[in-house]
Amino acid sequence: MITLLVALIIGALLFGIGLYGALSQTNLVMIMMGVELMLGGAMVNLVAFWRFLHPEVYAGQVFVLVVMTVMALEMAVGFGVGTARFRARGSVEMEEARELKG
Amino acid sequence: MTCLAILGPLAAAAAILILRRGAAALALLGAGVGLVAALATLARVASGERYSAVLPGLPELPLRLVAEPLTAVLAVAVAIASALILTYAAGYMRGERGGPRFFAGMSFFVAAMQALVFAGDWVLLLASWELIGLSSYLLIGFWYRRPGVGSAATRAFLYTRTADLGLYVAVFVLIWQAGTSEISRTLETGGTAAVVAGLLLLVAAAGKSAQAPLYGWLQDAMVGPTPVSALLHSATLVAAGAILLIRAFPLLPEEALLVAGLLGGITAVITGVIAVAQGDLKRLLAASTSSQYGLMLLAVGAGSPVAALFHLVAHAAMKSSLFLGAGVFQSARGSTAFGDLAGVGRGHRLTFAGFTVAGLALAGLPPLSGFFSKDAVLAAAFESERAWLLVPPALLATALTGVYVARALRLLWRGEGGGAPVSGAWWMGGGLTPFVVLAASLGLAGEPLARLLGAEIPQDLLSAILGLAAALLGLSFGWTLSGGRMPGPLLTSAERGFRIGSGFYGLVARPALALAAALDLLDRGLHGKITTAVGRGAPSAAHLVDLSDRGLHRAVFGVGRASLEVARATRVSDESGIDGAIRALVRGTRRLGGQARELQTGLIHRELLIAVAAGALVLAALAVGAIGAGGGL
Amino acid sequence: MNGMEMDMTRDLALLAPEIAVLLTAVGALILEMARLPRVALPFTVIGLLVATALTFPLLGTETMVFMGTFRIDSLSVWAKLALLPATALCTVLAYPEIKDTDREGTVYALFSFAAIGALALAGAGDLMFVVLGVLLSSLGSFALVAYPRDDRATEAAMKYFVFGSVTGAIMVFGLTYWFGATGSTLLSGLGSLEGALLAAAFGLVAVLVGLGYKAAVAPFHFWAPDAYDGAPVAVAAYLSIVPKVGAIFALVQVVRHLPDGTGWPLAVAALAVLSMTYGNLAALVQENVVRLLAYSSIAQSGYFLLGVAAFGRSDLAVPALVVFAAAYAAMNLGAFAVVALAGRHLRDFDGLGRSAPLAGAAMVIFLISLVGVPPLAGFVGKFLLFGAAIGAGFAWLAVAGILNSVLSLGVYLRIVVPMYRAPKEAPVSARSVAAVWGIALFATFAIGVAAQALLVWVL
Repeated sequence: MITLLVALIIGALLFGIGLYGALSQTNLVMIMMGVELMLGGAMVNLVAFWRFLHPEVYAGQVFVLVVMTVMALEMAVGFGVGTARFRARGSVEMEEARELKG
Repeated sequence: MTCLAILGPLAAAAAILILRRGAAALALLGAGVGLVAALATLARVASGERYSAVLPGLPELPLRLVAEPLTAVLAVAVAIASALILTYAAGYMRGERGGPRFFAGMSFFVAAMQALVFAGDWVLLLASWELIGLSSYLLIGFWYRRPGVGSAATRAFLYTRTADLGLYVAVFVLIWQAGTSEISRTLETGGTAAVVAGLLLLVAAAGKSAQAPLYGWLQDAMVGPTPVSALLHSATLVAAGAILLIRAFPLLPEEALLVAGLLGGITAVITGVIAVAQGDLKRLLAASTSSQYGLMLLAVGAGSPVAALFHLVAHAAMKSSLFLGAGVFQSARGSTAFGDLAGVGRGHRLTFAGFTVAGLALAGLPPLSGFFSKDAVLAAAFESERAWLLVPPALLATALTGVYVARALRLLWRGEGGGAPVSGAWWMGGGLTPFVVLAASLGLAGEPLARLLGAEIPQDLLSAILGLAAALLGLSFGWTLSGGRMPGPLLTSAERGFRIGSGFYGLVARPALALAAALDLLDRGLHGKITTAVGRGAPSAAHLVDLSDRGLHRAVFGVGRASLEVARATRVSDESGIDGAIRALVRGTRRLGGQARELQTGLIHRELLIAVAAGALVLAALAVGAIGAGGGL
Repeated sequence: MNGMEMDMTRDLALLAPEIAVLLTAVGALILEMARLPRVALPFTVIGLLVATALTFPLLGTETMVFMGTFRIDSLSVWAKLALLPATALCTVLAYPEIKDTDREGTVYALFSFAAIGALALAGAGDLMFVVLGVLLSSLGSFALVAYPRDDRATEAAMKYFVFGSVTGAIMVFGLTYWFGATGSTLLSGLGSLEGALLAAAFGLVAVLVGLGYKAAVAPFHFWAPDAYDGAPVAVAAYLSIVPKVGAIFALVQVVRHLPDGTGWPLAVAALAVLSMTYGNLAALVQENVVRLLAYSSIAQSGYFLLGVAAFGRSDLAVPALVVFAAAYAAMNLGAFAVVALAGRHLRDFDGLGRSAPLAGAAMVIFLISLVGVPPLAGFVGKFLLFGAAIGAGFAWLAVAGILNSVLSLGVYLRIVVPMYRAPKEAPVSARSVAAVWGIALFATFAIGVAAQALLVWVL
C-alpha cells in the first residue's frame, strides 16, 4: 500500500506543478508544457491504480493509452493554433491577446 | 363549437396578418363568430349540459377546455365586449396608420383571453395568461414612435410579468400536490399547499388586476389607443386577475381570503382617492378600474365569488362605455386632459348622455346595473365574518366612486362646447350605444346569473341603503368639487403625476387643515359669544372654556399637521417607493451586470485561475460533505 | 466467436448514424482534396440528414453497445435528432461566409468531426468516452474558431485552446481517482463509489470542470464569449449548440450512476443558479450581439442544469432535457442566423424590423422563445424543466430559474426595442441564411406546439 501512496503522491505532484505552470505562465508554449505535466500526473495515477489495486482490469491500460492519445492530439492542435497565431500576430503571448473581452 | 370562440378571433388575426387589408372587417367577422360560439355555448350550458374537450398537450398534462356555467358566462362577456369594442375601433382607427397590426393584435388578444376563460387546465391557463400579457404589451405600445409609449408598455409588461411568478409557482405547487393539471381537481387541494398556492395566486391576480401596490402601470398604460384601454379594462388583461381568483375560489383557504379581502379593500380606497385627484380623463378611468377590481377582490375575500363575477360583468359594460365615450371626446379635442376637455359634453350631447348613464351606473344609482352589482358586493361584505374589516373600505370606495364620477361629469360639462368633428362617429356610436344599454340594464341579469351558477347573489336592505347613501353623498360632494376651484395642493399633486401620496395630501391633509381653520373661526366666534353670555361674572368659567378650546384648537391643528407629515412621507415613499424600488432594482442589476462583465478581462490565464479556484471551492464543499458522511478514499 | 461477431454486427448497426457522420466528414475532406469544394456543401448536408434519418429506427431503443461503453437511449438518440440537423444548418449558415475561400470543404468536415465528439458525449457509458468526446469535439472546435486566421480569430482560438486543454487535463486527472476507487472505467460501476466519497468528490469536481467547460457553465465559461466573438457567426452558433448539448447529456449519463451521497444534485443545482444568474447579468450590459448571445447561452446552460439536478428524482427530467435541447437548438440557431444577416453589433439591429420585416419578426420570435413565452418551443422546454426541478424537491431552484427568466426578458428586449426604431437600408440577405432562420423558425413553432407528439416518442 505504501508504494501506491508514493505513486499517487508523485502523480499529484506532477499534476500540481503542471497546473501551477499552466496558470502562472503567459506564453502558449509554456502553458502547453504545463498541460503535458498535468496529463503525465494522470497517467502515473492510472498506472498506479491499475498495478496496485486492479491488476486484472485491462481497461486501466487502455485508459492510459487514451490519455496518451489525448496528449498527442492536443499538442498537435495546440501547435497548429500557435502557428496560426504567430503568423497573424507575431507572438503567442497571452498577455497580448486581449482584444476580445468584456 | 366552443372552440370557435377561440378560433374565430385567432383565425381573424392570422387572416389580417396575411391579407393585410380589410382588417377591421375581418376582425369584426372573427369577433362575430366568437360571439355566436360563446352564446351557443352558454345556451347549451344553460340547458344543463357540461362538457369539456381534451386537446393534446404535454405528457400527462393534456390541455383541457371546459364549458361550465362560470366559463360560459365569462366567455359571453368577453365576446360581447370585444365585438362592440372592435365595432367602435373600426371608427376610431379610421385614418390611423398600422390598422392591420392593430386589428390583428386585438383579435389575437381576444383569442388568448377566450382560451384563458375556457381553460380547464393550468397549463393552458398559464400559456394564455402569458399570451395576453404579451399582446397587451404590443397593443399598449401601438404608437411606439410617440415619446414615453415604449417605456409605458415595457413597464406594464414587466410589472405584470413579475407578478406572474406567483402564478407559475402556484401552478407548480398545485400540480405537484394534486398530480394533475386539471383545474377542477387541483382545487380540492388543502392544507399548507393550498395556503401557499392561494397566496401566490393572489400575487399574480394583484399584478394583472392592478391592485396595491402594483397599480402604477395601469395608469401609464393609458398611452395606448382608447379601444385597447377599453378592452384591457373591461374584459381582458385586468379582468384576468379577478377571473383567476373567481375560478380558484374553492381552493382559497381562510388565510388567503382574508388577504384578498384586505388587499381589495385597501386598493379600492387608495385608487379611488387617486381617481378623484386625476387631471386626465383616461387616467381617472384607469384608477377607477383598479378601485372597482379592488371591490371584486373584496367580494372574493368576503366569500362571495358570485358577487365578484356579477360586478365584473357589470363593470365590463360600464367601463367600456366610459372609455369609448372618452375616446369620442379625445377625438374631438385631441387630448384627454380635463383642461382641454372642459365643456366637451355640450358639443357631443348624445355621447355625453351615454357617458353620464354609464358613470351614474358606476356610481351605483338605481336602477342602473352598478347599483345591483355593487349592492351584491356590499351585501357580501356585510354577511361575511369579517364584516368589520370589509364593510368600511367598501362603503368608502362606493362614496369615492360617486366623487370622481360627479367630478368628471362636471368637468366635461362646464365650459365652452364645441370641438373638431369626429370622423368615424357612426361606427363609434354603434359600439358605444349597446354598451350604454347594457350598463343601464345589466342589473336584470343578476337573477338568471345566480340561477345559472346555482348560487345566490347576496342581497341586503341595509347594505343597499348604506351603499346608495354613500353613492349620493359622493356624487354631491364630487359635483361641488369643481376643477377650477380645486384645492391648490390637489392641482400641484396633479402635476406631480398623482402618486398616492399626493392624493392623500390633497384629500386628507388639506381638508383636515381646512376643517381646523373652520373650527378655529367658529371657535373664535363661539368664544366671544360664550364670554358675553356667561358674563364677566364668571371669568374662571370663561377661562376654562378658553383653555379647553385652545386644547381643541391645538388638537385639530395637530391632526392637520400630522396628516400633512404623513402625506409628505407617503409621497416620498411612493415616488421613491414602488417605482423607485423597481428603478433601483434595475440599476442595481445593471451594475451587477457590469461587474459580472469585469470578470471577463480577456486575459485567459487569469480567468482560468478563477475557474480553477471555483472548482477547488466545489471540491472543498464536497469533501467536507464526504468527510462529514464518514466516507474515505 | 460467432456470437461475438453477431454482437459486433448488432453494435455497428446501432451505431449506423455515427458511422454515417464519420463517412460524411471523411467524404467532405476527400472532396476538398479533389478540388470540388462546390460539391462539399450538398454532400455534407445530405450526409448529415441521412445520418438523422438512420437515427429514427432507433427511437425507443434502450440498450448498451460495445460491452456497456456506449448507451443507446432516449438521450443519445434525441441528441442525434437535434444536433445533426443543427450541424447541417450550421454548415449552410457558414457557406456565405466561407465560400470561395481556400479549404472550404475542411470546415464542413470539421463541423462533422466535432459533432461526432458531441454524440460520443451524449451516449457515453464509459469514462474514456467522456474523455474522448470532450477531446474530439474540442479539437474540431479549436480549428473552426481559428479558421479565418486573422488577429481576432487566432486570439479566440488560442484562448479557447488554453482553457480547454487545462480543464481537460483537470478532468482526466480527477477521473483517474474514480478508476482507482471502482476498479472499472464503466460509468455503470460508479455506484460502488458509495464507500469512497472523497475519491468520488475528486472525480465529480473533475467532471463538472471538464463538462462544465464544454457546456459553457459558469464559472467554467470564460472562453465562450471570446471564442464566439472571434469566430465566424456560423461557428459561434455551432459552438453554442452542439458541444453544449452533448456535454449536458454526458453529465446526465455520469450522474445517472452516481450515488446521491456524493452530493452531486446540490453541486449541480448550485452551478445552475450561478450560471443562469451570471449569464443573464453579464448579457444585460453587452453591446455586441454575439457576446450577448454567448452570455445568454451560458444562462441557458444553467436551465439545462435544472434538468440534470432533477434527474433520477423526477420523471420529467429526461423529457424536459430532450425538449429543451431541441428547442434551444432551434431558437439559438435562428437567432445566430439573423445575426449573420444583420451584423454583430447592437447598432446593426436599429430599424431591422422595418428594413427586413420578416427576418426582424423571426428574430423577435427567437428571442421571446428564449425568454419562454408560449406557445413557442422555449416555453415548453422551460416549463418542463421547472416542473422537473420542483418535482425533484428543488422548488428554490425553479424559483431562481423563473426569476432569471424575468431578468432575461431585459436582456432580449435590448435587441428587440431598437429593431422597431428608425429604419435603415435593408441588409443584404443571402438565401442560405434566410433558409436557416426560416427552418429554425418553423422548428421553434413546431416544437412548441407539437411537444406532445414529440414526447410520446421520448417516453
